[in-house]
Amino acid sequence: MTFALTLNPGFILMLGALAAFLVPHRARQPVMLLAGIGAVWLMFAPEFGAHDAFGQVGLELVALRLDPLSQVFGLGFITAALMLALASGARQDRLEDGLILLHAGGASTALFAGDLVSFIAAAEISALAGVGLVYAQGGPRAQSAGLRMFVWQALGGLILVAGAALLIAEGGDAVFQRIGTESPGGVVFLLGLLIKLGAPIAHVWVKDAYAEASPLGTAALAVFTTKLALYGLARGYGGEPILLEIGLAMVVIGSVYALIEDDLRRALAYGLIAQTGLMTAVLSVPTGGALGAVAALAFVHMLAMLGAFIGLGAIRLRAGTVSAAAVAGTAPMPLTAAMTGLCLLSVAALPGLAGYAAHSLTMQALANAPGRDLLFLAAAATAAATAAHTGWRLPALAFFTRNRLAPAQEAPFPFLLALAVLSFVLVFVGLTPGWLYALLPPQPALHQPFAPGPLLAQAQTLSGAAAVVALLAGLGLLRARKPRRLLDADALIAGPLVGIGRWCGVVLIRLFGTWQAGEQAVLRALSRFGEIAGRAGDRPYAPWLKGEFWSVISAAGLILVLVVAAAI
Amino acid sequence: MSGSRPWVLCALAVLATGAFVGLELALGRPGNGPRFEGQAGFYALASAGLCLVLAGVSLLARLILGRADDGRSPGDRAP
Repeated sequence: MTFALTLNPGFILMLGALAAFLVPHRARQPVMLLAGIGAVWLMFAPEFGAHDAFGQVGLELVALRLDPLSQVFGLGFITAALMLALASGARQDRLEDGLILLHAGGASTALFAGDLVSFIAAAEISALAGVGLVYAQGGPRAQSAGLRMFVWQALGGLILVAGAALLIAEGGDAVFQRIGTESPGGVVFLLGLLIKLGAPIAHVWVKDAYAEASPLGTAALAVFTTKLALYGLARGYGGEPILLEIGLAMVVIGSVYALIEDDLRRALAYGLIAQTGLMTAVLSVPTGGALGAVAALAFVHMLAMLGAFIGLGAIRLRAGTVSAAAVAGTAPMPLTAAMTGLCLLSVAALPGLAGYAAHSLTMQALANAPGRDLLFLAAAATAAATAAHTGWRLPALAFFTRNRLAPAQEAPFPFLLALAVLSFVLVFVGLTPGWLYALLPPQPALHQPFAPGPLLAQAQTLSGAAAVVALLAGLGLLRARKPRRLLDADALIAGPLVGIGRWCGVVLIRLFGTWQAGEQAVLRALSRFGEIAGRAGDRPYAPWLKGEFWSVISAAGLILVLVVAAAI
Repeated sequence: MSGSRPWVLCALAVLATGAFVGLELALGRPGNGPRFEGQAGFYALASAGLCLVLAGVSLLARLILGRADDGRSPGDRAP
């Protein structure tokens, strides 16, 4: 029993994934649910601490390390896996079911792993399964987005491996703990995590993969990919000042695009980038309160974003598109709209929902941190922007439609079931946040989110943003009249940068060719010289000019050597 | 959303904002959270102002960066 109790909970999900690939459709959903329940049990059964350390290739690997930080993230991961299992009954897709569970299992295994090697290996399994989820949707756009995600994830993984190798070479220890940016290995490892996080420039894989995967595939990606990287930052880089600038850049990029993007799932992906940016920026504060606030934000956003992407995925399933310009004529979906709207408003931190419990805790943590006025203001501004682009704009565009001629066509029942459970959890946590606070690392000081001060502050923020969004809607500026694509950093990468790269490649090839040609010419000349010299030496009775010439040269050389020797 | 509905919602949101600010004043200015104590209406004004600025920047970005959807992602040619 000791073995079972110290097994990494993610292993159960990965075993469940293998089973899901094999068993028939009717058995897949029970298998997925059982795997999730087993993982929850394994997560809460053992005591906190590192278990089952073993030696491998000269390194000490820790298969299971359980502490409050990994437990909060793990609870979010496994709850999300259970919700995805509930929703998966909506369609028959063996490949996608298995990949979802493998994606979740890899991320959970990485989360609970106590060393760098296991973390990277499990994270790469999760990343590959995530790429598979994008490809599973099919079609040229999904393939393009899948390839882009694969390239970025592979690059991130490669850099993580290099960083871990440097760290182990520097310190000789593979344990994943506070790393920091003091050493080159720490900087390289941070770079790998930032790529997987969707930091500026690397964020292009996020917005494309989330927009092009299947409804449930996107929901799974929204939970497990960037949040695992965020966990890595929380574990290894809490209090690093550089995270402030990176996080705020993500907030600005995400907020601007989220407010104008036509594809609603891509708009929500930009909103997710902004929210992840805020969490990254808060991680720059070196206090326990900030770490706990980030854990709470991550947990709540996993579930709220999962529900939001399931709801938007239901629109895509029913209408065939999630373009804001196109869905204006789709049928109303009252139940789906209500529960998806609740999830979106939870992201926007509406009081009474889980998002507010985490948001108010974050604001308190920043207020209590000395010298963090700028970050406090940035967090308040992010809340206002999130209210505008995610809390109000997305539900307005997705569900408040003009054409009500078509009969109502709700999301499939399994989607509704998952949304209902998620809505319940978000309301439950929102109204009784004490149990979430009790799980956090470390437990925060007494915090009262429903005190008049924070409550009225957030109410004003939400209503002020609502007034502006309604104003934009009245002016007809909330959405483009025709579907539009927005250029992002990938257009720069695919355009001028690729052109420059191609030009540099051609120039380098020509330089190499010139070098090769010159080298061959020199070798030919030397060879010819040697041939002549050899031939002259081998033919002492050749015509006098050549023979005499070499005799004179040899005699002169001998005399020179003798003179030099005499002089010395 | 179309017609007069957005304007009705806008009016309601403005009224709600005013009510929250009034409530803040009525409760003896309990403060707007941990910072900006006593500055009633700070969050309402800051939120509306920031969202207006963000909307302006975003609309400008849509004009500059927006392209008709030709069925391809902007980065389709290369990762």
